[in-house]
Amino acid sequence: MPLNPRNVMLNTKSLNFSRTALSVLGGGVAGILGLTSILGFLFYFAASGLLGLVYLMQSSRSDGMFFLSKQQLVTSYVFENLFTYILMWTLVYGCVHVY
Amino acid sequence: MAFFKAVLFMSLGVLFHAAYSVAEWRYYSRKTDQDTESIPWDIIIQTLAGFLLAMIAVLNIAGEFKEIRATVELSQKSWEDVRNRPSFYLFNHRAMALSPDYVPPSPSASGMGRSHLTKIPDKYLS
Repeated sequence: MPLNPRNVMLNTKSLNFSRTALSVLGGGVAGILGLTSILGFLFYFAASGLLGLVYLMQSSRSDGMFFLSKQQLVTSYVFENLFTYILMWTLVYGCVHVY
Repeated sequence: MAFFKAVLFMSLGVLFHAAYSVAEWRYYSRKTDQDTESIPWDIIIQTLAGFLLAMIAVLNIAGEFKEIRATVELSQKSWEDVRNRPSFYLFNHRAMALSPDYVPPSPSASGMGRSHLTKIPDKYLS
């Protein structure tokens, strides 16, 4: 199957952008709410799963093909952005709750 | 796009306000020795609402996904679109004398004033 490389790149960039934004915002929210240890990680994975669900519902409504496998919508960039999440989480937690 | 950027900035403001509220509440609860109490409900709701709003804005800024099968996009192009090569357009050939607004070159400059074959007439230049 011939692919359009420009659109493949655009989709990957769009997915990466929203995943990164989710980590940054989610980290801020977890810090504000003062989540600690396992609760913070659970919050991140819940938010990521929710974003994946939203994407799955969006893509099931249109008949186009956007990724080679639909699994990519849910699982890609989740663990790459976990570290961004931890960074923002600890930073905002420190700003709000410690000082 | 501009609208959703405004929404994103607004929700960041909401989150910042929530963070400030929590910091303030933490300060007073520490002073009154009620350190074990959990955060008030209204601040939690405000934080989650700001998060949701920000994510909606981010999803709209990130934009729709585009089709990756090359055949889908190609099938919408006509043959004229595909064979169109703007770099190979020639305007300055002898048939331009047939144009209604053709101005013949002045005889005094004949020979010297001939423009190049690939020169584009001014009316095609925006």
